[in-house]
Amino acid sequence: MDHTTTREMQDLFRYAYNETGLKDSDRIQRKIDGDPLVASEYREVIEVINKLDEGICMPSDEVVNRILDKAAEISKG
Amino acid sequence: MATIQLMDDRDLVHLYQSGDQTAINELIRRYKQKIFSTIYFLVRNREQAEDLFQEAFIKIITSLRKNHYNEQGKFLPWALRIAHNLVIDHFRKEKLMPMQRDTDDFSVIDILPQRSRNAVEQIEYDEKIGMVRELLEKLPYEQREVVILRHYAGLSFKEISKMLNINLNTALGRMHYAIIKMREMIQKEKIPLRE
Repeated sequence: MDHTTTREMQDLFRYAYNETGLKDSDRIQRKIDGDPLVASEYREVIEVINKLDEGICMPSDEVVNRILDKAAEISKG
Repeated sequence: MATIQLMDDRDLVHLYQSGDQTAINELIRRYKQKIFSTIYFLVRNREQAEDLFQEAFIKIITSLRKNHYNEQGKFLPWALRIAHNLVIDHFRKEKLMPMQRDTDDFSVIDILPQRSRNAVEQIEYDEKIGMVRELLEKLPYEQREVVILRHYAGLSFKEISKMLNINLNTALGRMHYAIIKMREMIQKEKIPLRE
């Protein structure tokens, strides 16, 4: 990531996570489409993000049920 | 009246405060994955993560009942702040600085999910979570924290900067270094990427 500026990288993260408004999104997408280096950086960001998606995990049903029982108890109390 | 699944967080909070238990069920259903993944990847131990998750939700419920919630409908950042503070307290109590923890203590038992899967699916699932956990383990704590809050908790960079009391560029900078490092690890260790 030697030639992409810090600002451009930060734009790519915000864009990848849908944090940019319409105007910025358009500007960033044009940059991605028009600059192979930026396109390559963006692809790498997305690859890492996709990899992180595989780590999403859930609590056990037991712990959720314990919380619901406790909530019911608090509501009564 | 809108079905409960279509109600926004603020209405669910009001509904729960007026005594409707189903509203808290919906809030838990809506956010358990984000809040649990965040806690799990910070503490890196399933049992401790479940204890902290339970503690966080009991605190959330108690605060809601006492009308201590005043976040203009931003339930998730508020709930995550409670969970994050509990994680910090946990590290303090254990006298563990998260960045100093040994990474050799990884155990598949720690990550076993509770949902029913067949044996092959279970192994694949464990492997995937294990790989992600290894990626995150190797990041400095401050970078890992930003990645977890952005990716698993779903907070915006602005919300993260507010929660961690750092400026926006610092949050983005930590994400930048984390992505570079994870990308290097993926290449070096030939971790398979999703097609």
